[in-house]
Amino acid sequence: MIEISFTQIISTILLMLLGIAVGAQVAPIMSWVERRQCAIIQRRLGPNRVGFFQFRLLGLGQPIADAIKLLFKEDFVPPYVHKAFYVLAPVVPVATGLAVTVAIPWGSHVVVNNQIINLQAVNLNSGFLLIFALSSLAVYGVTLAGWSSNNKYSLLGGLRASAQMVSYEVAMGLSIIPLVFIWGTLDLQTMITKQSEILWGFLPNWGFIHAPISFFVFIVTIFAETNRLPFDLAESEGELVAGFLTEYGAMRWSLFFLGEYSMMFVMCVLTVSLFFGGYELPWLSQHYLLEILNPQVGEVLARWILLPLGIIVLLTKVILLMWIFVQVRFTIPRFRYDQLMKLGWIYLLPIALINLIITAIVTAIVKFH
Amino acid sequence: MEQSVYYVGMNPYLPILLILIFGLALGLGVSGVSLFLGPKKPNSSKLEVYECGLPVTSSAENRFSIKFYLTAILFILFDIETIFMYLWSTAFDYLGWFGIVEVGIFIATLSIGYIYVLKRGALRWD
Amino acid sequence: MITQISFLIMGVMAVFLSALMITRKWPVTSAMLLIVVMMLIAGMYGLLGAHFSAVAQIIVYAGAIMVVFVFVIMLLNLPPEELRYGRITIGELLLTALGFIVALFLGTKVGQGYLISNLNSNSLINARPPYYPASMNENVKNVSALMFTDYLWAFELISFLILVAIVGAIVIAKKAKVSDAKSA
Repeated sequence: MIEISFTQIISTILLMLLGIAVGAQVAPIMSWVERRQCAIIQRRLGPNRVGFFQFRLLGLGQPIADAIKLLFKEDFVPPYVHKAFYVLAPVVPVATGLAVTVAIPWGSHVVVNNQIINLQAVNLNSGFLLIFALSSLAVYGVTLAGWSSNNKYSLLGGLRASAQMVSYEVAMGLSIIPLVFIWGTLDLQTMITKQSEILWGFLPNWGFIHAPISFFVFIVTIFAETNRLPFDLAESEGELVAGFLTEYGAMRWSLFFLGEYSMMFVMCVLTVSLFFGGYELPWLSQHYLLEILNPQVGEVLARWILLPLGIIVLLTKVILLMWIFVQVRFTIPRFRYDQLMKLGWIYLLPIALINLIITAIVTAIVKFH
Repeated sequence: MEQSVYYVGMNPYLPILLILIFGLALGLGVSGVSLFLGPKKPNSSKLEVYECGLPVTSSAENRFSIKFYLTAILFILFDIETIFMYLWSTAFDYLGWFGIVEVGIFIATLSIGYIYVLKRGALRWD
Repeated sequence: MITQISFLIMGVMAVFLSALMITRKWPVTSAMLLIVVMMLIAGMYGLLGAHFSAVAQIIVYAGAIMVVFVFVIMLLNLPPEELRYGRITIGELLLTALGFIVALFLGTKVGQGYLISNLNSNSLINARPPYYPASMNENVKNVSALMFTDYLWAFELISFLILVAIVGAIVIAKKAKVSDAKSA
């Protein structure tokens, strides 16, 4: 018989809140990380003074000070814009960027009240396709922002940025499919569990080893999807002539970046879960640790001990990957628009397709013989 | 199966809907707070359309390139292909070599289309 | 119970937003309302247990097809519709009445169907066992196994349809060289 359990409902709500909290906090922290890393690469200091109560704290108070400043800036709605969409356009990246955090696999599962609680707020049958679905909705934020500003340069900038995002979504989807053959499922938790095994005696069974080309294509498309350098023509146009961000003032402008950083965070979590083993430590899988801890403290407590371990491992891997994003931002020059579209359609799409076919044939040979 | 209990939580689509509504409220709220807290000093140069500080030259002569439309149409078609790929890859074990041949025909037909697109130069300079 | 209430709410909202969509002044507003309707339809598919259809609806319909609509509306810079003050013609009245009759007919037929059949996600076709072991979580695999064995012919025809669409789009776009004035 089927019974509604409040434990599951409350745990889903708690996991949702965890996702929202982490997704909303990525933007301020990443803005500080970017400015400090940019400064260190450029041999200067960066923001390292703003702290609390005479403690410098490495300048971590800077994002808070920025947020307070942005709240108090004059936020006028220009009279010539289309008001409804001008107000709604920054909300689209924020809403989709936060909504996509529900699919993050924080850990394996815990046992509460004799029930197994999967540490993933939403575990749909369609697995990680949810992340692709919500990220394809994020295109509308840019398009609406460009159109509603009633400024033909903004419109052009918005259309170009959305054409860029849309071009790389094809390669993004096609590059992930080899992983679905290899792991045999669309579900992120199953994939991570399979990656905790040992391959050929000494290597962790990571997706990166099975499908390295997929990894490289996927990383490039993530850069393009989240408008990060070297693909950030949309934002740079805001510096140069105009772009979809021209008519946007203080807090609305920062809402775009809140959504962008949150989406970047979730894409990095997806990369780590697909290619680098997610919340599992490379050779000490959670299964192995459970077998060690089980005779001593019992299974329930062992799982509660493994929960923060999983979250810390996941966050460490994601932070490393996002730090690489930041490094790339200040190392590689920006692409021109036609170079960008050429890369997306003429190079990445055939590479992803050929990779798919070859991986399918190799996987079939390995599995069926 | 008479005595075992199957526990269900909330419908998995509900958290997505709730966070979308929450994101909407957060975005509108944050923009609204700034509207209340900030000063209000309109002047004429702020109220004009921004074109690098120069006065607005042309207003309605908007003829944009057809390549945006072409890019979007090609995106739909390749996205549909991607959807079928997702579908095939989940039942890869069940479909075996037969499935690979079927999907191979599908990809081959679409590759003909893709090569046609490349030869016609529809995706160039965009 | 909660499923039925959610379905009712989503259905009413979808119909209401569609009616709103066809009566808007700005075409972009209509496009955005259509996107919300697509998402509601995806939610309804999810409630019915068709998880793959729900995700595919958002990825393809709300995320690709509506992008084309929005691009075309923005590229053409369509002006807002003016309100038309005129008499309502007999033809329009007859068509509206016909629309109501069709809606009533569909509503009663679908309502009967919902009450009679057993809409759960355990099996796709009531007359044969599913390809994968029936559980609450094998919808995508079952759809996939079905599509590439039973509906293979339709699948291969789709590939030709997409090829025709590619060729057609390029022929139309390349012929419209007259309006290819200002490149990005």
